[in-house]
Amino acid sequence: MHFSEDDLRAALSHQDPSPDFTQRVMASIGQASERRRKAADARFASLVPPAMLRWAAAGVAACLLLGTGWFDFRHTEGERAKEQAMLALRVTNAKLNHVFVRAGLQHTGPAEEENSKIRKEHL
Amino acid sequence: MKETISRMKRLGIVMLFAVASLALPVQGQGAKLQLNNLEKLSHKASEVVDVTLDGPMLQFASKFLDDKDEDEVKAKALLKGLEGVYVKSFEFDKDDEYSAEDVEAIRAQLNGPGWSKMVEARSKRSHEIDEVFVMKAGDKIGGIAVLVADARELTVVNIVGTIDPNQIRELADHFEPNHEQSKHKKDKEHKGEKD
Repeated sequence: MHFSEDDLRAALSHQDPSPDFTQRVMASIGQASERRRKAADARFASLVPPAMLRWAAAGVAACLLLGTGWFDFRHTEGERAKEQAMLALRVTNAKLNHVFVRAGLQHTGPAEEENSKIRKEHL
Repeated sequence: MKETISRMKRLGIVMLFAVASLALPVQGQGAKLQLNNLEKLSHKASEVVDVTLDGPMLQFASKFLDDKDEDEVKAKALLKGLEGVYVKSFEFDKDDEYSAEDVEAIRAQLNGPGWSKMVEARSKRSHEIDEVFVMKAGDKIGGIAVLVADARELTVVNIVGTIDPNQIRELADHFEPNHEQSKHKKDKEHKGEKD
């Protein structure tokens, strides 16, 4: 087959795209990405069924709730234990002071006078 | 024959270690008093303090103590070696609401092996008997018991675990019942001075 110079020039000459060229390109890009997304969704759905996904979400939420509740409970318990320990030490202090003063091993200090009756907590 | 002797020796050593390892916690446990007989006094008493903190709870409590507070730092150091703190304190509106047997049940335990009386103060006038007992564990103290009994009050404090004798002094010098109140008072006074 023989091409003349005019044929080549005509073939390689500048040609404007059709008016709907951009629209078609964009549409094909959109379709391709939609197809890819659908394929990925289908793959994920085949791996993790939607029902399982719902259960997993519920499980995570329950774990978060339980975790927060457990943390709060432990914190409250810890604070209570601390208060009890400090109360026990204070009662021990008051009673030791009381006995030492009565036994004449320690002079009556202002603390002993003030605290002759220890603070009691109603249970 | 030789093999049998060496096997017996090995068995003896293992048994020795087993007995020693059993004896250690028993020593700590030995300082724990049975205070259950006092529980019946709760409903008769007008004021009750009942604290029961065993080892794990004490260590748990010490995690919540503030490292910036002087008292709590001292408390933390004290609680470190302790295996239990038990306080039962009853205050009554009327005389003789508890029986001599209630006190004797405690005292009988304190007259048992290991315990020795450190301090005693008696008053016939006020019918008050105050006693401090310690259980020795080598150079240190393995337990303390404080018994305060008068006509309208019965208090038993039982501290179980290793405590340095100096810490008893420390214990008697700090942790005043109104320490928090006096601290607040001081803070207020300080604020007043500033204003």
